[in-house]
Amino acid sequence: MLNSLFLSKRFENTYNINSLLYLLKKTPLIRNLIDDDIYSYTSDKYIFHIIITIFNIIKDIFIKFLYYALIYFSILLFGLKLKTSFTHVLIIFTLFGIFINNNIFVTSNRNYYSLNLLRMDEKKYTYNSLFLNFFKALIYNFICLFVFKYIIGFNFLYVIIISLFTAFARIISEVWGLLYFQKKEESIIDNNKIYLSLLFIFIIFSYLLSYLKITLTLNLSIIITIISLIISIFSLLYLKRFKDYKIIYKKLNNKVVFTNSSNTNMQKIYDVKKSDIKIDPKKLKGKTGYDYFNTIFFERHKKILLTSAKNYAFIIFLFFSILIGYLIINPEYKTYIGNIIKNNYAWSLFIMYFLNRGSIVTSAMFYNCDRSMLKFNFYREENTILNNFKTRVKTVVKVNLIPAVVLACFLLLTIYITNLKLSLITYISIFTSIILISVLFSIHYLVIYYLLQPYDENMKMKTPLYSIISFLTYYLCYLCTEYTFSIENFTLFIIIGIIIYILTSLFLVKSYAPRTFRLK
Amino acid sequence: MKLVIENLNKSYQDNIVLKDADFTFESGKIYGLIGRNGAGKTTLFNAINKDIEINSGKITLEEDIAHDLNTNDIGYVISTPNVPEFLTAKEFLTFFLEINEKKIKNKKTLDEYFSMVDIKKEDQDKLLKEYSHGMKNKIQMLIEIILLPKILLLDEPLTSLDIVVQDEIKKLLKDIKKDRIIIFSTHILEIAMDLCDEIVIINNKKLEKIEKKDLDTKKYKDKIIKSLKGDNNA
Repeated sequence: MLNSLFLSKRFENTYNINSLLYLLKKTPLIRNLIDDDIYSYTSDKYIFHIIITIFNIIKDIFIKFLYYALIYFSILLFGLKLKTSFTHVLIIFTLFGIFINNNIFVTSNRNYYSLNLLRMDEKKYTYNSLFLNFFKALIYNFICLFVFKYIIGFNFLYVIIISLFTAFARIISEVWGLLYFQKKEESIIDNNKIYLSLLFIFIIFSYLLSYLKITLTLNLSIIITIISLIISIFSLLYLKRFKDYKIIYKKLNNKVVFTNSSNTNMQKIYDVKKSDIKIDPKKLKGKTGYDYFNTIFFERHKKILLTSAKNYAFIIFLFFSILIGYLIINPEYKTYIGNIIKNNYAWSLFIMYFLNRGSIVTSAMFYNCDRSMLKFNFYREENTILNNFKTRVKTVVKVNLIPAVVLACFLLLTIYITNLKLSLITYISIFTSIILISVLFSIHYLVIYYLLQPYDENMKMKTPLYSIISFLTYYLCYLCTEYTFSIENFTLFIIIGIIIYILTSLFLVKSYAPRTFRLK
Repeated sequence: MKLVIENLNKSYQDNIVLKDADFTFESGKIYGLIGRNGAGKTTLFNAINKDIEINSGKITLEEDIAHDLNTNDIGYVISTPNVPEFLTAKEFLTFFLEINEKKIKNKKTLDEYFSMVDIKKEDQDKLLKEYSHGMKNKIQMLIEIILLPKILLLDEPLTSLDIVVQDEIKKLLKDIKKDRIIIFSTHILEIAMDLCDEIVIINNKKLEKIEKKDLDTKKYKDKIIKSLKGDNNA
């Protein structure tokens, strides 16, 4: 079994190393340092395997720590008692994990390649993953618990009990996943309703019970762990007797591979539902050429484009309504809130960054339209590219304006209520700056999409430059929140900056997009 | 050994693809599966390979006794090759040979395997991502030929290969057909007639064998086309 585990890991590592080298070979400057025949010696370079394994271990432990920190801070936020609530919430969340964290049902190309093409034995493959996950859960949780024991000061026995429980939970969850799949022909992660209901129930159980001071005692935790041990033994027997691994893996992974998408979540985001394919003929009346083409595209993607924009607008509306209501009831907080807005106005850039749906829209454009259309010469003509760009800019700007206008109006209303003494010009510049920030991000994503065309045909990979630019965008927005600007200065700075950016980027698109907007 | 299909029904929502389809494929023969676009060739392959659920019917393998198909009995080369793009051909084949060490009879060297499908030395260390459609197809075909499953399903495998490799593969298939069932779907009638022992068409949602009897090539070809057009007097 160990042999096949190592083989499976070696396959995965080699694949990852080659992907990384491929990316590096596509990155300007670095590519000159890499030999053309680099791939010929990767499989023998054990140092690569060691580095990548160590990197993965560190990454996994880091993620685990983040999870623990999240629980830690959430308990602090709710004002609960750390010593009793922390272990209680952890145990309840692990129980939740049993229901939704089923490793077999995580679909991937790797599963398809390993099982369908390389013909690894499905049973061995499942055992290998289970074995690995069992020990990862045991060791990583032990390390985190050990650290948090010193921070919080709970009983050392909890460290052992919870580590064991999380490890047993990995075994039980696979059996639960198989039983559920056999009955419902789907994995629980694909059923949003059940998933969200379960999440809700478990959050209530963990935090609400802690709030009511009903938490799992040490003895009860020991009993839960012993019960989980017994269930895991039966689960292992079930997994040993289970015969239909191959069928299940096929059903799950073939879907991913044959839809040419790297994961089902992406597919869910970009896929157009059957009900959206029909378009009201009135909307297409009198339209010809690309106008007709683009109308069809945007009508079919209305949901992807509009739903999240409307949702965001609604959340903003709700947030400000509550805030304004609160200020009306408690006028003594008006100055406090007014000062927060005044001193942290630069956050508007950061918030708008998160509100913008630009990257999802460009991904949908590529996935459902450009990756096939770019194969035709007529679609790659200069005029076509520029005209389509213009149409797309207009639509994306309009979509993103929905939450932006709601935010701008309600922010001004809040400012007005808080009695901040601002001039009319400042009011106008606040409104203008928020609208411009929204336009900026709408154009920004389209511009980098047209200038870099970052995706490969199956959307399995993005060019590194795209990731670098995305990170820089994020970092710049974040940087603005670090400094205190006055509203007047910030809006002036942002308005001028954005106008320069928009003009430059439109010029760049006009000059370069006909050459850069190509299939990779 | 026989692959027996009985009363096979498969539909996608309202679209019935196969209706009460019956057929028996026998070992030692290469079957050319022909049908018009969308007739259901790939659906039939997917059903045999258990990639899709059938609505009703039975697909069994008759050896000493009849039994359900075991997926290990089947090799399936899909028309659009899907290979691990970030492995080199050499790495892929090495992994494949290591994993299937016990199943492979008459193991050969990597070079010998690559030469079977004419993959040159300089291409062996390239990522499969950089391979052309035809080269990826060769890799897919190669691993099936190495494993020699009892049933080999080939969905338009030769269309994207150059004529030299086509010829090699044809020879290979003829060499390995003994003791196994090879079903080969194609739109190119000449390849089917040249390579296959029997021609089976999918017509009117059913499988139908086109008897050659004593017809010459031209007449046989006309008969196949007429059948595909739905002319029952063909």
